[in-house]
Amino acid sequence: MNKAYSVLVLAAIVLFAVAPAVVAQTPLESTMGLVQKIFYYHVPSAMAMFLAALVCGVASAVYLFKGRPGADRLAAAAAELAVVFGLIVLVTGPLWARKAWGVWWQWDARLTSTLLMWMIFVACLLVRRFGGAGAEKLGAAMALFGMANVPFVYISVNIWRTLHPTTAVIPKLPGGMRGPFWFCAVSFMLLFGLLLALRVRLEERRADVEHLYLMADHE
Amino acid sequence: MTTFLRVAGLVVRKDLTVEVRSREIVYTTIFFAVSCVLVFAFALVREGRPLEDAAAGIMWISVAFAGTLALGRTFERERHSETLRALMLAPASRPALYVGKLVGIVLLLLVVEAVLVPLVGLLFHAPIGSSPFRLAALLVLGTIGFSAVGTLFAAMLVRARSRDVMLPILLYPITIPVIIAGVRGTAALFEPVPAVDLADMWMALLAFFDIVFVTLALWTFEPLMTE
Amino acid sequence: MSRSRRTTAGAWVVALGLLIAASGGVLAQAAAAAPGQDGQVAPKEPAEQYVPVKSIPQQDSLPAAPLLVVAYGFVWVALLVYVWSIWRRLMKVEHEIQALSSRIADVGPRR
Repeated sequence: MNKAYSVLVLAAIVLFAVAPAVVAQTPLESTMGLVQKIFYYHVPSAMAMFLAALVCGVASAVYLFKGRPGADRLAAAAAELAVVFGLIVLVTGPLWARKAWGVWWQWDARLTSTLLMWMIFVACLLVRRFGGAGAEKLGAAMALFGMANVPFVYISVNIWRTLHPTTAVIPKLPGGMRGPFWFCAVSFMLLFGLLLALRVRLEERRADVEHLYLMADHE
Repeated sequence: MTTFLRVAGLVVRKDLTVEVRSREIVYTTIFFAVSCVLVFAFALVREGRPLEDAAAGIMWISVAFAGTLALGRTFERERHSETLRALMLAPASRPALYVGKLVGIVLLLLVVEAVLVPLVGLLFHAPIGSSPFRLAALLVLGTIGFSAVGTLFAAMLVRARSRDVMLPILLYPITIPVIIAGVRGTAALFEPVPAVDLADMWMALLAFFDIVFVTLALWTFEPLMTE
Repeated sequence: MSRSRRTTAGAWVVALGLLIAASGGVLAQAAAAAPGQDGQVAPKEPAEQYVPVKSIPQQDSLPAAPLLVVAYGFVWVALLVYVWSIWRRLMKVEHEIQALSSRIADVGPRR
């Protein structure tokens, strides 16, 4: 753990801690009022989930076709992060929806496809844990299908009529909301990067244990 | 290309021959699917008669459950006789083997659907004859999508632990979009006035899923099956 | 895990905990300061753009503040729990490595 890492950790904590204060300054939205402020955590979490899914998919492809164990470790870490950030999205969303739409959940294109993508990565984790030997390849195949889902989830709001706001909202964010939003987005991305590094480190240490067991067994 | 098709054709012929002789999987899968439909028909009852709006959903759910069972049974048979390893050892391209197994599963499921559709029409008063070609197209496209993913994972799971419970866990999150598209398309066709444009849209979506899934499966079959 | 790393991780957890309390306070203040906490029932069209306003007309329906607080609170808690979970697993693996290394060092690796 070197100096740069500690600086990044500190930066992430500070950004994340300051975020609620930043969000408190934002203007209220006309139709949704106070509850719309969940947006500042909900959307960056979704961005982190998509990023995790993409990283997992690419790493899985590298592992399947090139066989590099480092890629498999990265894929395992990214899958877990996709599940964590996906859980955040799927909990903050309904809390917002309860007020904004009057219902906790709707079976529209965006919500359904996000839930399914989340479940794919949960299945990824399950198969790695309980699939026995060779389960990493199965997990990798699942992750590839999960990654193929990401563009579909993203554009679903633009193609189908859903209750969920379209992707046009972000580019058209008014000034008072834009700064805080991107601030939160950056802090989430930083957090994502750090969590990924930490989780990959865990996988690396686990690989070291395996290696040591082999050495010990050779006696 | 011709070798590819020939290998795939040989695999299909092998599976068909084995199946025709024993008919084990066909009979058991059809029976399971019919039981599924009946259970739903008895469970979802209003004023003593089955819910008619549920016809499309029940049909596709039964196909999905029966398909999972059939996939499990087919590859269990391969594992039992060690024929899968023999196939892998044969000097044949892996994608061709995959396509052969896929076609076999699709044919099996289409036979099951041929029995299911009239039954659903009977029990739920569904107008299955109103747009027969579109209905058939929906069923074929949906079955291909479901089977494409299913064959990949079932083949991969042959050597894994707790394979029976793993297959649904892996299969359903990925194939639920296919089921949704199939159900919505079929429901559109079962309307009093069939919503043909809507059904066509869902059919296009199914075709898109099929292309993506089969491509992904062809691409990953080789590295997945290599030890 | 080395001593310095453990203290860093511990400090991190404590810092995050303190900051939860701080941000909770900030949020509560913001919620109390907000003139209205209500919105209207589901808009039929998906939102294409967010429109900022200075204040909201009062209407009685669901209070938004608890939802907001629970949402933010959940995010913090989830991330904290996850960090703690990674840290716990890492500690376990490090102990295992230490135990194995000392065992190998005692006996001496032979191939």
